[in-house]
Amino acid sequence: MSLPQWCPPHSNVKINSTTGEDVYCICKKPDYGELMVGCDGCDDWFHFACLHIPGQFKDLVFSFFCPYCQAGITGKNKDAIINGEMSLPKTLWKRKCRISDCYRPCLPDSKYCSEEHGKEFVNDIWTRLKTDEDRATVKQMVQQTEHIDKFKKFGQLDFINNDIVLKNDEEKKTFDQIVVQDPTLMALENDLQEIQEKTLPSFKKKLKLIEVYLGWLDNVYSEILKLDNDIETNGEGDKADTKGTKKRKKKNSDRGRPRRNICGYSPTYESLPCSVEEFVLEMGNNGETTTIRGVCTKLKCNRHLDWVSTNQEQYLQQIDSLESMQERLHHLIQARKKQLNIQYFEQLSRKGV
Amino acid sequence: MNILLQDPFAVLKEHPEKLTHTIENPLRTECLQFSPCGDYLALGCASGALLIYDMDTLRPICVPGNMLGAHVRTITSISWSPDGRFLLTSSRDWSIKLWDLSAPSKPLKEICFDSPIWGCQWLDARKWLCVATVFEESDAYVIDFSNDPVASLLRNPDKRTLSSTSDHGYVLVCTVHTKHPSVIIAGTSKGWLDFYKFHSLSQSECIYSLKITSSNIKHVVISQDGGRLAINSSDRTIRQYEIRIDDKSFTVELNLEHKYQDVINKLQWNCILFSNNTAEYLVASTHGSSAHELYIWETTSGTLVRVLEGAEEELIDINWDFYSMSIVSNGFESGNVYVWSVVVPPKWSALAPDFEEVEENVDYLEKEDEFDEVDETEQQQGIEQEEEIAIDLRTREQYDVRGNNLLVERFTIPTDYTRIIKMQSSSI
Repeated sequence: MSLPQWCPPHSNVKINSTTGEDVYCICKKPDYGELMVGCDGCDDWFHFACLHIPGQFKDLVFSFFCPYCQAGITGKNKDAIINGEMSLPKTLWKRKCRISDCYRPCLPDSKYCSEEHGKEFVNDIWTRLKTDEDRATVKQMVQQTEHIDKFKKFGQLDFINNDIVLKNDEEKKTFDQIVVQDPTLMALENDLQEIQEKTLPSFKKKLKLIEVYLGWLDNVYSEILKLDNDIETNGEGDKADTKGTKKRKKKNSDRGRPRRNICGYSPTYESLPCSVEEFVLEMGNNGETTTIRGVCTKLKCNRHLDWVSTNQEQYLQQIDSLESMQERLHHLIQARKKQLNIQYFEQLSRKGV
Repeated sequence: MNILLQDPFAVLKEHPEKLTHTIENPLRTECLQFSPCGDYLALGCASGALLIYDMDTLRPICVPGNMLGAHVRTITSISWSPDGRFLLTSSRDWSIKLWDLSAPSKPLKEICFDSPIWGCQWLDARKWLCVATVFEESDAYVIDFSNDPVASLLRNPDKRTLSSTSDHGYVLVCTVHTKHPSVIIAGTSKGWLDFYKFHSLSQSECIYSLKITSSNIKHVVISQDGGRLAINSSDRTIRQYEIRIDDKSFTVELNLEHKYQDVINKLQWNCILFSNNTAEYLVASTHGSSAHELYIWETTSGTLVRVLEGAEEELIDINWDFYSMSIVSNGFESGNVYVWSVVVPPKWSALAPDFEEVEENVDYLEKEDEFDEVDETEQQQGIEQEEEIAIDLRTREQYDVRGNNLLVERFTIPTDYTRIIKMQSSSI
């Protein structure tokens, strides 16, 4: 901040060299008893008149800084300010009483300097209410609110009100016209309904179906492993055709947790192909083919690698984004309703006039 | 500054020279594609997110799929429709999605395969046709998005006879010929280049087949005028061909022009790209953590003309905007996008043609007729004559200084604040 235009450049003079008197302020004149204020930065004194501050403000000073301190020329923390560690000081004022020609500071937690002025202000508003009807409304509002805190919060309350009381047909008609039949609101509510009733449940259902299918697949796995172990222990049966596959499976089962042995991808996993036993039997019979009833039975399948988690993640992500969309729609509907309700009340009051 | 007022030698540079910007992308860019006029840059990310950056502000302005239906695995390719409104993305989550940028919150249409997608490209955006290559498939797919998406294999009806003689392997890449939009060029895992003529979804024929190498073909690019073809294969060589396709009989003729190799390090090439029109330049990124540059060759002579430096990591995908003459490439480790462009020093004296910028003091020499007195009436006549010439202020120029078509339709992605304003204004 730079010095204001009317302020002369700073000088260090404290004593008039000819008269030997102490001098103050930007005018460098001795103290003749005019109204002065002390700077909190440099401890010098300043005339209200020289700084163009009206005299009535004398009670409102909270902490005062002279133009030189405000410009960073003088002051206690000058070095810190130059280094950028502190910002320039500023004069702070107390809040003035709401009565326009009262220049006293407010009481704590109040907008008035005294209780009398508070009453005066409210009385003034009351006398400015022209019609009896207005007065009656205010009276009613005061009487109907149980608690002063609730009364204070009037105006901050939302206008979202799903149970607006419609007294007569005309009011209902206006309400329908403005709120119920609003195309934007209708579109938003439609969107929300579609997500809630159709899209979201369908994805949740898909996610559940894939889990059901995975459960079925797990049964198939354990069945296959059991079968292989049986073959191993018995040392007989159709060892010849499944020899290669068996060895690999053996390795897997040795690791403790049975790893996926067949790929198991099926494009139609929404419905289970057949019972576990049937499937394993069919698999044993058709050692050569890679798909049985649409299920991929390759042991090492690059093609469908990772298909379970890809699908699951896809559904989870869809559900996630739908849920956040739902939330957003809720907010939008609320906002829209609020606007419309305000419009409705405005319409009503206009009609009342 | 107006591009025509610039120093013509600075403006007309045919390839960028300096790294000017780096776009940081915490989502890790995997592939990138400029919109047809270079206004936007689409980034496909490792998480499956698709971001569209505005190239004037270098800020993301649109995230397609923010409401529903974004990819969940790495995006493998992006293709803009010529009008810049529709976008195709393919991903490792087995799906190809079609986005309408006028309503980008969810995909317009999508199709799911049963294995990851290598890439997809518009075949004819007006007919909603695109070609796609799918993991471990010996044929490419043609997808029709006009109704519910339908995919059909791009193959000869009598392919059996063709493949009985030789196994072409899996199709890895597909490119649509720029001048003959019905010709599709496919590169396979066994080094075959197959040319198909597309008639309809159910009918297409293989018109030419050539074994180029014995390793994977990674990229097939074709110049804007359709006269040059470059093939990047995993045998560490880029082969550049002159290509001629007859308009009527569709016979294909290929002549090998150049082979580009990294002679010293024997590095593989990650990605290749031609410059505009007749493809005077070819740019490539190198594989391996030791190489951080893009190489630009002059295609007629095959000489290296420029190495684009500045990135501090391996570069993967490349894209080139010919309108603003900038090249973008994504880094392998950070996933950031590097932008090289032409830096034109402002030359303000161009605004006053009489002015000349001089490097040092010059003794002024008066020209013979410089201060001659001219007959005023004659001068007046001259001025009037000049004023009488009608100046056409309305017709737009068709080509910019670099020969890019300026009259193509440009789609502007709408900003999504309209709804908020609507809601606010209706309440007043």
